[in-house]
Amino acid sequence: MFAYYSMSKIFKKSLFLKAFEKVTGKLKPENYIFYSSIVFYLLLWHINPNNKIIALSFVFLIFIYNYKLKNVKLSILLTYLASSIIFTGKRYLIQLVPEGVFPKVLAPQGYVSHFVISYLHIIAFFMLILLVRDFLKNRMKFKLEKKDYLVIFYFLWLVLSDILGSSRPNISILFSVLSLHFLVFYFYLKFLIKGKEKFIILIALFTAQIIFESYISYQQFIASSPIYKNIEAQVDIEYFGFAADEPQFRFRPVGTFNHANELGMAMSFWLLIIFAYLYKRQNILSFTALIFGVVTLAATLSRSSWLGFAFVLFFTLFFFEKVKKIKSPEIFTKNILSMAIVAVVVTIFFIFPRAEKSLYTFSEGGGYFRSAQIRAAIELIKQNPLYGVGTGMSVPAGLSQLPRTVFSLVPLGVHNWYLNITTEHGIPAILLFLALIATFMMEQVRKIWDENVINLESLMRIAITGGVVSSMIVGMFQPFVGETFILLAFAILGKRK
Amino acid sequence: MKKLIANIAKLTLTDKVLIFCAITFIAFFAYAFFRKSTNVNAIIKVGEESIRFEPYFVETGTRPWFAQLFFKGMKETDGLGRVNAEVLSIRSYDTLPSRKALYLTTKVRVVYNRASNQYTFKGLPLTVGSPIKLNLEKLYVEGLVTFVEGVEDKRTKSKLIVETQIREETPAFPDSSGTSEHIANALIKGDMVKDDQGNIIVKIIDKKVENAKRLVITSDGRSVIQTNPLRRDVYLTLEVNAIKIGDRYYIFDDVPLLVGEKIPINTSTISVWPEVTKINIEQ
Repeated sequence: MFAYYSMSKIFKKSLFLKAFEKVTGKLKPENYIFYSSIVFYLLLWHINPNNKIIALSFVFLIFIYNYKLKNVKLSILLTYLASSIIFTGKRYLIQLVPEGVFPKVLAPQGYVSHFVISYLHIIAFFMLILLVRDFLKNRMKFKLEKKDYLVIFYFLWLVLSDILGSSRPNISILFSVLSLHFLVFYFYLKFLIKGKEKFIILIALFTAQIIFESYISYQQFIASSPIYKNIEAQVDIEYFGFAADEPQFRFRPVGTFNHANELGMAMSFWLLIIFAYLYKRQNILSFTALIFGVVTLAATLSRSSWLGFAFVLFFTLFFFEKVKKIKSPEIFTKNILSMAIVAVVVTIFFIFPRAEKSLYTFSEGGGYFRSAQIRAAIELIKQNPLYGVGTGMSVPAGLSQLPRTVFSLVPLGVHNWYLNITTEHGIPAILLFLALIATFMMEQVRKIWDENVINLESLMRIAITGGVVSSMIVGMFQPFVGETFILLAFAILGKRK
Repeated sequence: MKKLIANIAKLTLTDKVLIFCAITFIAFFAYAFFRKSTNVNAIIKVGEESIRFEPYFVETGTRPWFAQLFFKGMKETDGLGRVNAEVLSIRSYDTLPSRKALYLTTKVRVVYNRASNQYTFKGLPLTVGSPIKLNLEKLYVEGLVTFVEGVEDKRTKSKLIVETQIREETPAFPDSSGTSEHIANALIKGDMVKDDQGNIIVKIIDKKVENAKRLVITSDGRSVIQTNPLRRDVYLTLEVNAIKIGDRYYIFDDVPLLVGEKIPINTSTISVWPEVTKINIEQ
């Protein structure tokens, strides 16, 4: 902190900073966050620095945010969220099953797992320091609620089950300990971030993320390949078009994520928030981000994300217009033609071909594969009901314990997050998670139903709760569920009044 | 008309989204279920993949007990009872005593994609070289597409006279390459190897049997050719219906006819692999 204040004294005299102040001085905080984030991301993309420079630049981003916000805690939180879409970093390849066991086309290096210490973990470490400091100095009102205990027990169970249940605890524990940054994020957001204006700041960041991810996704789509920049986490994704439900000769843009489905899920969450935000404040930038984001979401060809997004969007729309009797914003009614054109184009070029192929999903496509995986996962859970088989160990354990199932043919984690977490961490893990979700949803649905005044907070409550539902729908078909978004929702909406 | 426009203007965004979704849904199902599909003939080689008892021991062809389950007219139908695939004819021949090469000429219902100039069958491209899976009534088949209607087949058929010798290198008789007498007797002039449709692939048109030559080294170091009364040298002259691909000849689709290489002769009583010693190309 001392270093920060002495540096700020030096910078006050800088000519560069004076010019910067001139440019940014009149900007509202949310606009500042949007522009600084988008410029930051674009610089990372185009300059393409190495990992250490990227890590340093994320630390620098805290100062950039704080320059306007004058709130270090909020700046660190925003930087954590800004770094949450970059999955590169210090990367270790761990071979869990040697090559030769699975088809070469699916697992050329054998079945491997990537252990990545990312920029987000560095920022989470700063958050942990602040959290501990404020706790020790009694600067925060530290009172745990029932759902907080559930969150703690859930994450502790993940670690404990890895120690007691994993066939290779030395590897599993690495992943579960690394995932504790979610716990830090949750309590940091819950105890250290105050004020309703945070919603607008978060929306500004999400808008920047939509535009940035769309920008690079379009490049990837046009090139039909990754662009091979340092912040791209996935540059050797398997060929798409093998299965009966996959259109051939299509590249699914992944943005900076590990998989197009992950990009689709994040896009779905962000877009729902932007959509609700437009009901309160209409601006062309958010509207443009919405259109760009919808096209990106369509281009990912992620059916689970489409399903989650469409389901929640329709219910949100229905709830706004038919239940709460809110008129749709003028920006929608004025641009209905352009929205219709975008809808028709993405339907014809992305949704129709994927939907047509999906007719064969249960013959030998994703549906067939998932049903085989579900049967195998249930058998694995029966054999390891309490502690599971350990993080990342579903394939090796499936191969050794159930060699006649799909685990011996396709080296992929269970494509149902709920079964995946039960397989890897036992039945207590899923019970804790479901208890957490049930507590949160009951509380939020009651609040949404009772709220008479439609303000930004209530709109965000609907959108973020919808985002959680959307992520959970995605989790039914994918091995991930979007913990960042769910914990963001728990912490930001779950505060007591 | 004005009334309709006025009513459309009254619709909320929810209504418009609902109408759009309904139209899209109807359009999709109309496209999916009433799209134009055509039938094309394809030849499918039933692979050894159809039976997975010995994953680490690969032999060409499928097993005889499995091959005999196929018959002309077998069908695969979809959930609406429409015929997806129908077996028009079957061709098979022995590759080994324990294996058969089995080809199904099949009429398959495909969708033509103009953009990629491809047929797709059950969502997967129907291309020569691609794997295919069929559920023919009570038989599950994994095969390889070896021909699709419209693909030019440049192979030509040629009749060749091939001279061969049955050679057995055995440690029991290190100085001789002759074979046993019972093998020599089992091959008869006029024996034929046919496919299941009666087409002659190989015919033994001449057979010469003599005591096997053996090399003897005398005590003073000289090499002398003698005969072994226990072993036989068998020389077969074969009439072969070969396939010409480029300037090389093949039998049984992909066994090359080359001097020094062995070719399979599987009759009803014997399976031998004589070595080609001379190829006479009939003009």
